[in-house]
Amino acid sequence: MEIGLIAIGAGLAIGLTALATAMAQARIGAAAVGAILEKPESFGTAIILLVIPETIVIFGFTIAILILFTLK
Amino acid sequence: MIVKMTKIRIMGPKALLPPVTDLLHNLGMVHIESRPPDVQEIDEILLRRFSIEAPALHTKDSLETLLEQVKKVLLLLPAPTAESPSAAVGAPSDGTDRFFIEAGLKIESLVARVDQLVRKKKVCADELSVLERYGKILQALSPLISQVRESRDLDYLGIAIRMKEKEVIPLLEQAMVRITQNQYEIFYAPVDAEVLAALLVFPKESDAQVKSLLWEENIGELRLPSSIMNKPLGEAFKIILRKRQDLPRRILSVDRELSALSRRWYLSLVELRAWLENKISQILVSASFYETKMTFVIYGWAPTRDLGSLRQRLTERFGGRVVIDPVPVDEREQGRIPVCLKNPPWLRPFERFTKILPLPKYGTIDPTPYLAVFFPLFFGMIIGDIGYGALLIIASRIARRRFRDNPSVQDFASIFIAASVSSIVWGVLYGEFFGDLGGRLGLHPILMNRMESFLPNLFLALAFGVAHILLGIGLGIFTAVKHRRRREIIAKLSGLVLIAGSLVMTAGLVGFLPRPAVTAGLVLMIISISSMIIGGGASALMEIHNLVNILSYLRLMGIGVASAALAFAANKLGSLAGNVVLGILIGSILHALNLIFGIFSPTIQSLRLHYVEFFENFFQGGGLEYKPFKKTTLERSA
Repeated sequence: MEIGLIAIGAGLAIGLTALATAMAQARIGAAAVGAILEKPESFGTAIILLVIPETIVIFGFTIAILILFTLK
Repeated sequence: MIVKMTKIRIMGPKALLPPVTDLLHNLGMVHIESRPPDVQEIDEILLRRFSIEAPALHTKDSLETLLEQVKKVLLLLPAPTAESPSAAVGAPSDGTDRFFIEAGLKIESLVARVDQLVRKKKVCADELSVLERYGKILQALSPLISQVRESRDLDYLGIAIRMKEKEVIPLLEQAMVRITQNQYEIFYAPVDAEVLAALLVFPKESDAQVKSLLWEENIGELRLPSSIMNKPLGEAFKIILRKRQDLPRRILSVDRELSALSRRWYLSLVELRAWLENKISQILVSASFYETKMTFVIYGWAPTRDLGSLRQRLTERFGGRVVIDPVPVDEREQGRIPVCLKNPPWLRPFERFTKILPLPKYGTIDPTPYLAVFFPLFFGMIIGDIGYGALLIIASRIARRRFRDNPSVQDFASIFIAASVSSIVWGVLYGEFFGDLGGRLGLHPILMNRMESFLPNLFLALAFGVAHILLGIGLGIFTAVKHRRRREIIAKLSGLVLIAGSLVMTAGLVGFLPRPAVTAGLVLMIISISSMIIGGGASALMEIHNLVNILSYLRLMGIGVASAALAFAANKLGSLAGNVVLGILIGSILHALNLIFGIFSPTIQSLRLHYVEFFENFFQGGGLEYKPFKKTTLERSA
């Protein structure tokens, strides 16, 4: 039972943060494509803005790892 | 590094302006400054902006018109290929302009001929594309047409019916019986699985009613191209079939003539374009010069190390009549100093990554050398596989060999060779060769097994994060000290102490240091935050963000483990196939997919760690690019 709860916790940590990242990247990506079409030199800035939300899922991943390896 | 620049002023008698302009154009060292702030304040009677005289303006207009024509022809002509190279240019070696002027005179007839040929080709291609659309239907109908005896009293209509709508056929036949009093014939021929072609033959007086019926039933009438619309259907079909054979031949003949013109003219026109661009830029640049009653004055920027040779060339050519002086830089001009990056050849490919962002401001730090060290390091840490690294090296070397003339491919191939070597080194440390295939062949990890040692891997990623961020803060402090920005120095130093305090506290919490370390770390953190606010102002609190930035380096571990897991999965699925050949095939496909992800994702993530986390501490973008006044060469023009 306890192992199951730990696994669910880890899954929620990575899953929810991945969803949040995807939602943020979808919006930023769409806007970035528009910006690049208008101003191709904004490609570098667009890429940076696009990957910023990935930090959220990285944190989720870290929390999941910590849950799995420290609560066992 | 950012090349040191000196602001210069070149002065001489007005009569020498054309040869001086020509020499500067040839040397290509001086970035012309068109609006030096110190000049704006001088009385315009003494020193005014150089005015381009009417004849020069007229020449410029003529040259621009000619340039447009040359560009147009170059756009329309096919570029010469290795199989059909362009003829020798035949430009005179003494640099006389006559060759180009004569070539310019011939351009009008060339433009007209090329334009005519391109139009002819377009008309043929458009007509062919229309006829192609009817191709299948015509093919199906042509035997039917030969069966029908042409008559002046009869009319013919071709129609196309979709197979899925063929229930319309009985309705159509009933309506035709009604309209023509059963005086009609309909022939069917399947075109393909989806379309059925039909030929309707009926008395001419029913023409309007039949067309109205087709329109009402939404049946596609075969509309012929306008050129043959009024011909009888049988004759029109014959013409169409003949044209379908004839048009490709006409297009080929036009292509041959265009290729012949390209062989004769293309390279000559490329030279002419470069010559025209140079002539026009020489006239236009004079609008950025200044003049007094008797002299000309040119302001600009030149790399400090080139100043000696620039002075020497001017003295050799004009004696003491033209002088060049360094000019003190006004405080307001700091943002206008052009930036030129100059790095050793082995670092130069990494300038591509630096230039994705706006150039660094003059007087700040060029991040290229740091990118050259940390990008391959992080990339290798994420991929961490000997097999993938070796494949990437092979791919990069092939790309380098195949695209010798493409500097972008050469640079990126060099970057990926460095990154691949790093991947191999990390692969040895992790003991990975196409995932766990190395382990099955007797390869053992030296540092850790990524699929088992999650926490040590996590700490390793954090350690790289701490080192990278601390280096960034150190570079930020260096820049702040150089520009004597006291508040920034305090903020960044406090940021350093904050990170140190958090490290000590964490070490105390996890048991690496004795328990009092927690209190000591906490005290250090409180001190650093207080000094940030007191010394650096509220905006200095942004330095706290570095703590979060360090955590961002966990992606090195996260994406690395994901990459390793995919490689392991590829081997596992391959071994489950139960057949050696199928197993190798499945494994190879999955490894290939992983490798493609393995190029894209680590590149983006490594760059992101630089652009967002690392650069934030020291990088100041917005530098003005150094664009020396220099001649267009054939390479740049092509």
